[in-house]
Amino acid sequence: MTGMMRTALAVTFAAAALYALQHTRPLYSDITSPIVSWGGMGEDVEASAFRLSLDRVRVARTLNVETFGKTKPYTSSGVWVVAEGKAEAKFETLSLISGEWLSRRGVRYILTDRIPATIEMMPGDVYQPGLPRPLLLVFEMPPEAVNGGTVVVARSKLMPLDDEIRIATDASEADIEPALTIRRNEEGQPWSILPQG
Amino acid sequence: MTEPSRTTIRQRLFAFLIAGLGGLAASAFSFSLAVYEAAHPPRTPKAVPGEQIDTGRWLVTLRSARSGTTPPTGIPPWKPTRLVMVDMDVVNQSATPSNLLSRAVTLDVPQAALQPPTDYLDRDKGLAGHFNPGMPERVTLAWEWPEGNPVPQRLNLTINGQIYKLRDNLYGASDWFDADAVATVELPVEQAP
Repeated sequence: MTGMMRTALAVTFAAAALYALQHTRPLYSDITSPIVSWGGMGEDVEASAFRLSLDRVRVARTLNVETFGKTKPYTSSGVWVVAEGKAEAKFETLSLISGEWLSRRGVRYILTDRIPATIEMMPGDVYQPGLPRPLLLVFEMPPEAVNGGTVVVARSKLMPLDDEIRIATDASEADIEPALTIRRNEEGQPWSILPQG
Repeated sequence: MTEPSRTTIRQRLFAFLIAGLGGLAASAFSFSLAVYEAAHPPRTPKAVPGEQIDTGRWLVTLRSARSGTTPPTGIPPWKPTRLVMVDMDVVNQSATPSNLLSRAVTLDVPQAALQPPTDYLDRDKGLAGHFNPGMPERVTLAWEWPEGNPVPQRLNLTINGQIYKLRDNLYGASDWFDADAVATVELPVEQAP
């Protein structure tokens, strides 16, 4: 009888141990998540393969996009967030394909795919070592996601244990402009952002 | 010395027998459950146009259906094809952007296999890409209709559910997975030239 008791106890213990392990081990997505470098606005944030800085984040209800003499308004059910900065590769030429806005509540908003490719945005650009290049990120989100949001930039979303730079922004729901115009420039800075176009 | 070893063998045989019977019972139960489920498919509730349907990941409200050759961009293609277009309102209620709306809304057509639809964003009169969380949008899904097949008077659409798994069975990663259909909707098709 004691033998059977002991067996039952061992089985219960094993089940409890397995259950506890299953529920306390980190998720696969956490184990293979990118290695994060943190920073704030106006700071040069270094990852192992590239560096990134953000100078300004602006928020607007409507975005007018002006390319080759044509202006098209882009409305939104939320707001547009336009972030400008600079990025530079450190050792080898690379592209930065993945850009996200992480709200304070943990909701992710992806770089917009609505704006035409004639406006030079981050995923279409190639970054060379030693040549810092201006960078433009445009997001669309509900107004409550703006405050305390973080910009997350990585080479790709699919590379586990790669670099990721997170920059805490100073964007505020209180500074929403009615409209912003993004204009393509033929020389110099590839775009200009003008208030109320 | 012989007495204890004999009981051990008998005990072992008994354990094998129990395990074998248990396994057999489990597989018989699972098989008969599968047969029963195949014989009694779950009845999907019917929804009416304009009713908001919760799929888990999306909130979908089907509005209307029409058939024509001009896509929602308003620019007729150089080689006109017959399109079946369904207008709907969608909200992505998950915490991550998604461009897989066409997995949630499928067309039931018995005769021909259709290519996956193209999503058009009503706001831009252009192609839709990712839908960000919590941002309601009006969308048109356009299916290319195969030549020689008449467009039916009424369309049946299935709204498929999705479930979120914190740990999936393969990698233990968090993601959304297809689940059973949550509703079917019948829409009259407005015929346009």
